[in-house]
Amino acid sequence: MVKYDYLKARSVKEAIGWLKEYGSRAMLIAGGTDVMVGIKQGKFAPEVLISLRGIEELSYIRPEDQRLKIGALTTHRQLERSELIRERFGALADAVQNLGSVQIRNVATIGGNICNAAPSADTAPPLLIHEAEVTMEGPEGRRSMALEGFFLGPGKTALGPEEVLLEFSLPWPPDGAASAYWKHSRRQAMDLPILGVAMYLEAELKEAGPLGEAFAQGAPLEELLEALDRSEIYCKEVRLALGVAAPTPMRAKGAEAVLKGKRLSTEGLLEMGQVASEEAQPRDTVRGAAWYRREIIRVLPKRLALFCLKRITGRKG
Amino acid sequence: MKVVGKPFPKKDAYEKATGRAIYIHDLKLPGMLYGKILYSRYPHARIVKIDTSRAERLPGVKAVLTGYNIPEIRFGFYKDNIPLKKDKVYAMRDEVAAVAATDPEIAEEALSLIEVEYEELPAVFDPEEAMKEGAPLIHEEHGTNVLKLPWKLVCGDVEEAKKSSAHVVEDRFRVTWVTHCCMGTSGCIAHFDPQGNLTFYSITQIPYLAQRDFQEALKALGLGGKKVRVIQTTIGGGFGSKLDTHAYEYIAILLAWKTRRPVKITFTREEEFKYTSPRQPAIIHISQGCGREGRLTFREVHMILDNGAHTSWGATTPSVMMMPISSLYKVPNVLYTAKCVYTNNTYCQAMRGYGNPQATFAIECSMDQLAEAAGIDPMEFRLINANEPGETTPQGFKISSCALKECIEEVGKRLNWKEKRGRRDGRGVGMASLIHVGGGARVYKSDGCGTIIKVDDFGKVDVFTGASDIGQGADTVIAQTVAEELGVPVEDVTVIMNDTDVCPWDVGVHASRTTFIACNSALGAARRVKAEIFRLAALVLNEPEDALEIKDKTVYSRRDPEKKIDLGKLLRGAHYRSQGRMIMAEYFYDPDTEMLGRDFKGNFSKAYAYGTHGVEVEVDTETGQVKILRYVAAHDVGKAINPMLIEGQIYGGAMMGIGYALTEQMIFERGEMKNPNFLDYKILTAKDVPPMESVLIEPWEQYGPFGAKGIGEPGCVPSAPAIANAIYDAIGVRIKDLPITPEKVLKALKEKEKGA
Amino acid sequence: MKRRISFTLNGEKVEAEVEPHWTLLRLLREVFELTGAKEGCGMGECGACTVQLDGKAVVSCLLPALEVEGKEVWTVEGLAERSPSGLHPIQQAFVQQGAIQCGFCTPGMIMSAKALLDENPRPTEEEIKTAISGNICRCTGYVQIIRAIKAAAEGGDDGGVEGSR
Repeated sequence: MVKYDYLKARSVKEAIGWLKEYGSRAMLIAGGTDVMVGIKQGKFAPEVLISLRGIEELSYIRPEDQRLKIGALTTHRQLERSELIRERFGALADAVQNLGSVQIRNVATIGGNICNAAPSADTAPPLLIHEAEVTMEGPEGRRSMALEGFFLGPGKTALGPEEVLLEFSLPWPPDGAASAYWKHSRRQAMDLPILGVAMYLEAELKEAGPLGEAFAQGAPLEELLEALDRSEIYCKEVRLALGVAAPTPMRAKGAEAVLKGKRLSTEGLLEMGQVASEEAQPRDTVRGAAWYRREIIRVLPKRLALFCLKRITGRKG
Repeated sequence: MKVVGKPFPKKDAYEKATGRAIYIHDLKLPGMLYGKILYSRYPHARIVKIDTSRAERLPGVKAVLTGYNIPEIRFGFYKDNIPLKKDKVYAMRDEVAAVAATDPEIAEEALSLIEVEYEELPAVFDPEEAMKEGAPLIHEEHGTNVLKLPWKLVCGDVEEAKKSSAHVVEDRFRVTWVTHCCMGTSGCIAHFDPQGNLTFYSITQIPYLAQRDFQEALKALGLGGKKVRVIQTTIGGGFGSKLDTHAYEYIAILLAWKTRRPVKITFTREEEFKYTSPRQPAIIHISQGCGREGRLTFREVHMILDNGAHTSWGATTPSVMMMPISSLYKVPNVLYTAKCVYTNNTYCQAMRGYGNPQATFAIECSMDQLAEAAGIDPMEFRLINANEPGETTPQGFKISSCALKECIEEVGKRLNWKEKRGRRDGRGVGMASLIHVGGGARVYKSDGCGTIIKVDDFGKVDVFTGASDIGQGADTVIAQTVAEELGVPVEDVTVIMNDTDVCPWDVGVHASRTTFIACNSALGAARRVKAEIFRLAALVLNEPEDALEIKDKTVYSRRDPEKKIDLGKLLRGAHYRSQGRMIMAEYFYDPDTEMLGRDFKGNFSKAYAYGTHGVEVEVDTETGQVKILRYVAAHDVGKAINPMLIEGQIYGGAMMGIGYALTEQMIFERGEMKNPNFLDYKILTAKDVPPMESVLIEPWEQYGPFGAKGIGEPGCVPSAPAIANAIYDAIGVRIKDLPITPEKVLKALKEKEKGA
Repeated sequence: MKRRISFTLNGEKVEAEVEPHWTLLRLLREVFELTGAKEGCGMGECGACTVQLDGKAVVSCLLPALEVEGKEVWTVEGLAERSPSGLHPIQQAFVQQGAIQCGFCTPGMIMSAKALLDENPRPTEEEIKTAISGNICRCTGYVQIIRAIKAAAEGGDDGGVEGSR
């Protein structure tokens, strides 16, 4: 059993001070659902845990300067409940509502999920497709960077040993855009994804009638795709991110290039999936086989595009 | 009937709902030490040296045991296991050393100070490999990896029957390891009194058999003739996991004897997954045939069972697998053999169904294949071959009540079978049936259960029974039985169980026997008590005994209801006087069934339970994911003494069965379990519950208490084949090894496409 | 080095000396002898240790004990003690609906249900399933548990616990 000292920081400055003082003997802890498990599994053996839980100023969801700012200590439960996020950042809402369990979401934080940097982190693909930026603070002051460069490897991030993650900042998406996240898992709850895919789509709806009708009728997948092909919808911008498909969550930029600026079609979306499955580097693990992961990547962009379009057309009323 | 057939709440539900029930994890004794076990680092290795000196010196450590400083205690059905291994380890789960310390953290630290030097040996992890010439021998002294077990059943002449069959199908199925996942992990407290008598706090399902096993162990400690008392705490789930005595129990006893203090051992969840015995896997070859009109002509099954490194009940599952093989549907000619083979894998024991789910998976999938070959609808095919009341099966089972046809029809009706079957459009329906023992099972020489009833001065009734409650509701149905017979409220009946010093003998909670056997036993005792009450009341009321009734705690005469007396008053009158008396009675019920003979034939249960599960599924052909749209479970229960508790068994069993079919598997690599936690071992959550309905069919079993039969295991037996059959109906692809994961479905679909 | 904390437990102000590495589960079971919350897995995956912290359901096996300072904790024992009838309506519903077999998951299940109903008195079946999706049960197959929570929700508002919303 690992015995450690437990210090509750009252401010970011205090936490940073302790990080400096204890160096590698200390670890930061927020909700604890990764750190506590890691300690019990023998993955971590800190002498000191520095708790950020009490720093209430780091828990917020607010639109500011054409961006959405989310404090690193915001819990998944708070994100799950946010109308704003459900409306505009659908992929993130999708990711948090099925993450772990209610008990986990009540304490686990988005900052913790990202800093733990598991390839399977559910919030990572949604944040990547929304081109999130992270801000952190250390003894030298604050700095920001794109989330894309933040993941360095499984369990490794660009967060310095004396830094504390403060905030995620996402550009406010235009009206014609929506995002969605698919968590491919074996159970309906308490599961890590075998594969996670997030898509951000900004669409120009030249003629969306057929698709809109198909949505209204609750048509099944094949019919929705046919309706898409009969409609005239252009992809102004598309971003695709994959989880559990590489050592870190990744953007599938090759796949994005397939569709950007083009008219949306089943064939195009299949090709996008094909390119994405080749760009990805999934492994064989106890949790799933690489070939299967590639298959899922291949077939998902069609479904995700439809989810995004449903959200976009739904918004227009 | 006043109380039988009503949904009374479970008697101990109040304590459990308020957090007051004491499980083994909650129990503390003064001076208690905590035991922890060190396990092997290799699947097969010689133990070169064990150095426990550093562990012994750690302050707080009171004892360190290895295979070298304990007496020899052999346990397990094949007697091939000892509590701490000596000379050799045979599997990753083998126990190598144990410590007892003043707190669990010190015990754990002590484990890390024990130095064990191993010399690795070649290992084998596949039973078919282990049977080959030159395969590493697991127990060298046996000269072979194949156990000497007599599993062979011959009924009629299968070879002849094959020749005269119009249609024959043959296939191979495979089922793998899954485990009980009791929410309460394993544990015990062993405690000797100053004279060497052992009290063992336990979560066992076999208190009296365990008592006997421990008595044997005490002999090895020089304590032959001393007493063993087994006391069960509230049990956090059984499902068969506690039908054997386990190494950790003997270890606790040895540590308690060494230290002369109570020693508690409890398992963490990881230890529970890695070091307890799961469900028996099997490789199953099956062929079946039928005549032109669809009547079954023969069934031939051959199995290879991975026995693992030591032997527990897994090796005896063939004796139960024979039941569906010979008696599920009418099949006149049967041949069955099973080989159990040692490997360096984990070893298995009883788990709900005890081989029946494994065998039924193969049989019921094969039935669908045969129906297709014969061009007959699978539901129709089952009706043609359904068992009927009054028949004797080829294995010698005397079927008294049997509502299999009704179960099949009910399922077909509720699933809209005719409209939904055969569309092959990604949606499909499937069904499968089961037979299981429903009137006890004479797997041991005794299938008995004793009951003692005493009535107190206030008319309250105490029932001492040898049966155990493992959450299934034995406490409640026994109380309802006695309450019904004695005309008293259920609240006035207290059921005392779980203490071998106090309660009479029972063979154990297995084979879905408890309602049938323990309630019959309680009924027998209650009738005797009632006769005593009437004898007394006849004198007091001056009425003949046969004119008397008891209702609502009052004894009265049918002829003149004004002649009555309150039960409590009657009893007080009986004993507050010179030469007074108490009202007590005992009864031991052991049905007139027989053990299976050398040929494995005989009527080993007094009644048989049947059922059918039907499923509608939707398969996502791009991802291979299977969604259950509808699940119907119809069970022939004889009579539901408590319909609410019976449904609990059915829903719980079905969810366990669905997990077996679709998501659960223990993943091993070179004998080491790679998913020993709830995240990676995919037990289903509340969000995975499909729309489920349970149908109780009550044909009334004449030998059962109030017509009841057993239900504990049937709920999880036919789920996997029903789902596999539905998937075949949906997409024309048959997955023959469990669990049916999305990967297997997708792979099979792609292969089908390529072939097309 | 133990540290003193004070918090509200089942409606009462209490104090305790805790080691920094203790979890709330250990504190409840060993110091307060409230053994309702169970260790089913120790990893936050089974929910058997669920309690209410400031009204929210949390897994106490992953909660550092020092974090409850100044907060409000409710356990299943508190529900019974503080209900006028001795049983909270949720507990009553669990008993009546057959939602309890071996009972090991029951305290955690009841606390998840309580956290749900405190916030959402008339949940849909999906909402109920989501609320207990982190509570594993091997015995019941969940069906009667879901029924019990529905019954407790429809049973309405009375019998609330003194001091707990």
